[in-house]
Amino acid sequence: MDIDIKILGPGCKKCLEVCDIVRMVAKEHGLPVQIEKIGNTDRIAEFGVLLTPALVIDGDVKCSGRVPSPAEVLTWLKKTGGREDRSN
Amino acid sequence: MQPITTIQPLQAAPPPAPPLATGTKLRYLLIGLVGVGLWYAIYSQLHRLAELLAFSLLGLKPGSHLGEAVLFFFYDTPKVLMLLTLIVFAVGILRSFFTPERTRKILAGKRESIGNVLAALLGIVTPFCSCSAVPLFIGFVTAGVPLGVTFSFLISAPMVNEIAIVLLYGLLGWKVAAIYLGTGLLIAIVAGWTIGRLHMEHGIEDWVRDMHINAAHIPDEKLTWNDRFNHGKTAVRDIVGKVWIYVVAGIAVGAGIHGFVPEGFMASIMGKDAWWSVPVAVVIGIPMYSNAAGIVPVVEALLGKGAALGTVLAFMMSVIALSLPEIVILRKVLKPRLIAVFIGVVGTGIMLVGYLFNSII
Repeated sequence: MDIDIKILGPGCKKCLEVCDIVRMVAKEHGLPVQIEKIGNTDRIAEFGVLLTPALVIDGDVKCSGRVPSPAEVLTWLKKTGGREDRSN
Repeated sequence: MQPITTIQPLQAAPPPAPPLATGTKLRYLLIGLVGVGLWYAIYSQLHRLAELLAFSLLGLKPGSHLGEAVLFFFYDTPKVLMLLTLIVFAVGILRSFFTPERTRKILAGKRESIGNVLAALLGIVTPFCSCSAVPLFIGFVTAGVPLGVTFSFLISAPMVNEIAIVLLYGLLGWKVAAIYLGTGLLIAIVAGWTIGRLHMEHGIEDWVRDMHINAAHIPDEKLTWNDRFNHGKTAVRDIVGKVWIYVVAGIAVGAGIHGFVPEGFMASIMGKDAWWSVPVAVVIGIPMYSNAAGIVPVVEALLGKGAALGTVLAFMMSVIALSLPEIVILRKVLKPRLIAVFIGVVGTGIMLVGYLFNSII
């Protein structure tokens, strides 16, 4: 099943950066992801996030208020997806 | 209001550092010291370099209109940019210790008066961006931070920031910077406290109060000094990369005014004797939106030509603290009456500061 990714943020530059990084990492390592961008502030607040951009993987808020590094994203994706690195 | 989210206990003392950590800490300390030394060596030579460039290299006459304008530009631009880089880097590292989650933990359940003071102070060092104002407001209020205390934070965070302070210091000296810092904090404290006294909790939109927030358990990241240095670097890249163009443009305009516009030009409109200029400056400034980097060079130019300090400070504060975009964003969570009270209280505070400084300086 695809890993459920939500990116919270009203659509500023940093939110797009997070989105690009997740896409890139997922593609590079052949991890199937389903990305949803959430720009609505009430929904963002429901996640209990105080600063955007925030990254939610399988319902867990992984980081907020900053752009994570590709290496961090990879560890989160692997851990949550429980998959092995399939790149050769 | 009942706190809905579970507040995690403050993080316990960090686990004993691995033997490597002391070494890296020392290394970063050394790098930092050498960096600051180098920075200062260049910084202290800027005026000489600017004179060399303007008078020896370009052959302009010292004391001439053009000569003075060019010297001003060559000296102030690198000076302000160097100050900005150093401070933004330092504040970037400082901010890695103060996440909004930690600030909320500190403020939740605090009594009003002390809470207002703490909130205003934490507003300086907690990372904040006005695009996050709504989630932050909801997160604070639902976690049991009193409404007035939340407002103290929301007023201080954008208004009293390192960019404004550095630019004021670099262009107008430490006294003006200190006045701005002091009165900015005072406005945030008193305005927040006043809103708290007015018991405006019914002014929060109902859906916010009925909200059930998933307890946000963002892992409290354990940062190494390496991470904190990277925070500083990112801050410099983000902030200086964004504002340098405003600074250069502002100083260029300032240099032109410095050399060519007659002294006392602004005195009749924005001078001390024009009593009406303070409220007019605030009313014009409230809907305007600009960051500190764009507004301070303008402030300097106005001051240089006879505008009164109080009037100019009031203008600057109202531009930075209140803006139409922010009001539109906050309208999502606040009913119109509370918005009106917010603008009224903050606007009045800014006006009082304006009058105060016009009368004592």
